[in-house]
Amino acid sequence: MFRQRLIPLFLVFVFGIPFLMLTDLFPLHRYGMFARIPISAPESPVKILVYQDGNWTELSSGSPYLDAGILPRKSLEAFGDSLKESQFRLALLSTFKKMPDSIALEKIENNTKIRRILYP
Amino acid sequence: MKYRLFVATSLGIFLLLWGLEHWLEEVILHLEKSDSGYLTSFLANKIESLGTEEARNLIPQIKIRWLAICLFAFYLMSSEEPKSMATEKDLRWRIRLFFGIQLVYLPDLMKELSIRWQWKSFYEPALIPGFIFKEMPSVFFLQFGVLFCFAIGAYFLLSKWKPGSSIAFILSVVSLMCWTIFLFIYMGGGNIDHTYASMYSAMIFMSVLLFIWWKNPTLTDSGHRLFQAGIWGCYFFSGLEKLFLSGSNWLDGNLFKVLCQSHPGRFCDWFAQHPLVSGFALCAVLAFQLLSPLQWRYPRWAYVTAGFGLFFHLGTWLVLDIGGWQSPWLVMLLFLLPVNANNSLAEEKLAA
Repeated sequence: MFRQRLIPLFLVFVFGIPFLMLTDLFPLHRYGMFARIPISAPESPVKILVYQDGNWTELSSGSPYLDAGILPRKSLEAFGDSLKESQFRLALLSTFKKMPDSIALEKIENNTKIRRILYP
Repeated sequence: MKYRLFVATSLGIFLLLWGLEHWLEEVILHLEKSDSGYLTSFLANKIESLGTEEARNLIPQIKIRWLAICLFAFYLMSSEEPKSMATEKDLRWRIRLFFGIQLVYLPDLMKELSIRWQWKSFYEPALIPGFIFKEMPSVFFLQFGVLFCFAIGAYFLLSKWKPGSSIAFILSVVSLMCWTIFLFIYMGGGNIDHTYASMYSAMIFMSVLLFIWWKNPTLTDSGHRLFQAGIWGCYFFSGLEKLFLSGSNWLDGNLFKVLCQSHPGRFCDWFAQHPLVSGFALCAVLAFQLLSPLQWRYPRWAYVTAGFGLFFHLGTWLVLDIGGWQSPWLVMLLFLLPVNANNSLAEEKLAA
């Protein structure tokens, strides 16, 4: 009988430790990531860069390249969440009203810039 | 006596945490300044991402969370066993089906892992796998692992295995380890993705069920309830997180528009423009998640959880574009249903 009552403690242990830890120490249990109503739109560690006239500049809202001047935030989310490359690339490029010479993604990691060219 | 000891220990740790609050603040300060060692720098980055103020605000939560966990454990330990019992035949087919479902999702997981491998320069290992997989493993390794896992699933689905044998338990643990590695790599490819969360959780408890069936068959029904708890536990704890992290904000329909910033869409905008409707939906979601542990005591509560869960997942797909009809979460709801519902109903009719 006592052993039977100990079984639920295993359940509490599996769910309870990540629940107490609050952060994503355990990568398979990040309850908070889908529980919180965010105060503001999430920031992405990835930047979209456009290359024109010999310079790389960060894409921002209101850019003349963008259709209706809206930053493709959802594209960035797609990148961060599911990394579905083809969908991401299509979603991103479809937001451009006119194309610059080149489009790239940039991420800073350990003080090193990692850049991936998306277009052409 | 044992319950009293349990309650006394819980309260003791609660008071201890209360006394350690100042110490925890010191740890946060230290981690913010520290830049040495993988573990320390990882934690420091996490604290930084939370923001100092927010991290400090969360310290009191740990105490309350500890109490919540203890109350939850007390509820589970004190509830009586339900009178209905699962039959061996029902359970064996349920286990077959569970591993059969893995066969459906493994190719999809392999596809996702391959995409992540193409973007391997963006690979960021999480804490534990960071010690083992500092870099993204090769495609050959991933393909071999998925095929191996596929073979285990096919064995459970097609062969004449005995549930009470050691081989069933051992193979389930091997499968669990494979999935753990895949998901570690999957998570290292970007932000959190909960696609396989309830399935993985159920997998942990499936191994426990098979262990119990092997070592102590008389407790098999408890093991099955634990397996089900692995699924509803995901809902319950996400409900608790909503309560702890968002609090009353979660019930405020006016804040729904903030969710639409991350998940824009026509239906989301409609919900945001109707705070009463969105407020009701948010409240209903919280209620169904927090009440899901009732299944532990009343197995037929599963019909409520599974029914609401179905609407919940289809709703998030329609409104927020999260998940979808093919999500493993939806299939896992099937395992919440009591296996012997028809038998029990028949017994009740006979008794009447």
